[in-house]
Amino acid sequence: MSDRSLPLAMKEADLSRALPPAAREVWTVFRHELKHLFFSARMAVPMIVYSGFGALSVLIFLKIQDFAEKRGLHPTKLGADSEALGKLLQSFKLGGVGTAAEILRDHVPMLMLYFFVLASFFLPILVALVSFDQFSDLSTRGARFALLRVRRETYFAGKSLASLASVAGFLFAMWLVVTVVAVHRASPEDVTIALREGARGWLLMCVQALPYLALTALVSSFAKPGLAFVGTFGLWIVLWLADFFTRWLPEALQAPARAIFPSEHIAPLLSRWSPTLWSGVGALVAIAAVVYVLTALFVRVRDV
Amino acid sequence: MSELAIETTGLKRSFGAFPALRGIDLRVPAGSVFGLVGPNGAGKTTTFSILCGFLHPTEGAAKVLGHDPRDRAALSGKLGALPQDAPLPTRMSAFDALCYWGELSGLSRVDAKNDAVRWLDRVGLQEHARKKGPQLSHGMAKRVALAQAFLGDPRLVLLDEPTSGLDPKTAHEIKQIIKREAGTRTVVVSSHDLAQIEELCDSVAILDKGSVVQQGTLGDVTGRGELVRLHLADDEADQATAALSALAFVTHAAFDRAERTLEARVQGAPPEEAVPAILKAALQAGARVVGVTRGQRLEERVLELT
Repeated sequence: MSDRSLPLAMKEADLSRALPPAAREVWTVFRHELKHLFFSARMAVPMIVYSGFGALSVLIFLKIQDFAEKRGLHPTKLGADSEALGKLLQSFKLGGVGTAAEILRDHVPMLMLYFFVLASFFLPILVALVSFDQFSDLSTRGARFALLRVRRETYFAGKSLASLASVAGFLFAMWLVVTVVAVHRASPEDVTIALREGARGWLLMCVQALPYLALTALVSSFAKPGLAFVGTFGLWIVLWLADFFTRWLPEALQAPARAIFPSEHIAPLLSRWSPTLWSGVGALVAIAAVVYVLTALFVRVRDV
Repeated sequence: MSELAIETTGLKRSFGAFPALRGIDLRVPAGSVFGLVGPNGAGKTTTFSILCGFLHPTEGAAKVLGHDPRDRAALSGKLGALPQDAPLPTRMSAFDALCYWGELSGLSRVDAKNDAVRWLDRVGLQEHARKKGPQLSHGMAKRVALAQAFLGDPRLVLLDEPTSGLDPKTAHEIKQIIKREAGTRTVVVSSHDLAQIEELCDSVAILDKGSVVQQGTLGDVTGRGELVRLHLADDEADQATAALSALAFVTHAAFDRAERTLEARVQGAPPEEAVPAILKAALQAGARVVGVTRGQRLEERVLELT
């Protein structure tokens, strides 16, 4: 074999040898899956679409801000009225006057608030495009080569983490750009706030992605890629419709019924560092955990 | 009793109402090259899939190298397999995929790379190492799949239809690889190519309709110790038939006119004594012998039993 065609197997640090076998299996699956998922053409499409759309909408937002500024409305003043901002958030089911007051109190850049709301809205689509076929290889028999060698649980964990890391990596890149723009436009005393809000926005969007990643894992563990694609988007539509129709349930049942929908827990994430925020985070993590456990159990017992 | 690499007891598996396996009792001696044969739907691939831990049996038990086939922790690195019709990854090159599987088999990164290089070389795919699954031809993909089965030198290798759909040259090359690798480990080969099984294997199990209809050494199954066939140039052999019948250790002698074959069933004499005596008797009776074979061909035996 020529040296040019293949890398030489040079001596290299392989710290994973020190890990316990199960952790080593998870790490190996994670590393290889991430490498070939994140840098694949498959990832490029949703990334270009999502980031292109995100960039375009941010530009439009900035133009509107600039326009308003020229008309004598300072950007920060756009949101200076917590009542107006509260009503706006309420119309998107993202909190109310209380949340708006917190946001204004903490000088959250409006650009970042806007991007968080917009990106949250389209996040399920990004997750579906990136990971709709996470476990479809169980149905195509493609997973047999790996499952001959590792436990199903570790394979499941490794691949799930790789999907999460892919989405997290992509969101990080997007939030980095938004943060740089926000820092560039911020007054010197607000730079720290912009940086903190960038990190917070990224982390909370990763949490938001969790239940959707878990649901794509569940759907894909049943179906081949084509069906998993249709099934995932079908599930998103069903969730959206089901959430919508809960308004006709008796008053007492509405809150518990809505609790199972991930989208219901985005509003608390806009709240500042308060119990409301943590309740939203907890709910999203809990939904993800339940779905992941169910999927793992199914993967464990199913034929491949 | 010799050590067993595989042992199944009353293995059953149904798909809906269809019973694919109706109670398979299989015993594969360690170190053997074992053939699994039978017609389509006999249950070969289902048996393979259970032994690899891909399918769960409905009833019965299987032991692979002394462990439950689903016990990956115990079998990782010890069991290799070429699953039938499993597609190669679309996003990884052949080399990357082999490195990945090597690491999953318990090899260090360096060893996995070295093993991948070694095996790509052995299966003649050095020039195609950077190609991804969809870019490889059927034959190339089969070679990659064969290479992965031997990564990390597993003690037991299961090969499901290793040469199906391949051109004769590629099939021959793969057969040579299997021959080379056998002997240092237990190899189980499932195939419709019975001549190939005869050439490669020392033991065999014949499956039909989800059951084992016969298993044992190739000699036992094809009756090599009990049947001697003389291929004649004549279409008459009455005298030779009578001469063979007169031998003490021949229980039955008959001439197949269409095949020009004189068959002698032997009992109580080792082949090294029976074959020369039968040949001598036939020649003395005037038969013009053009060939001698022992036992049935595996194909005949399979056709007889299934």
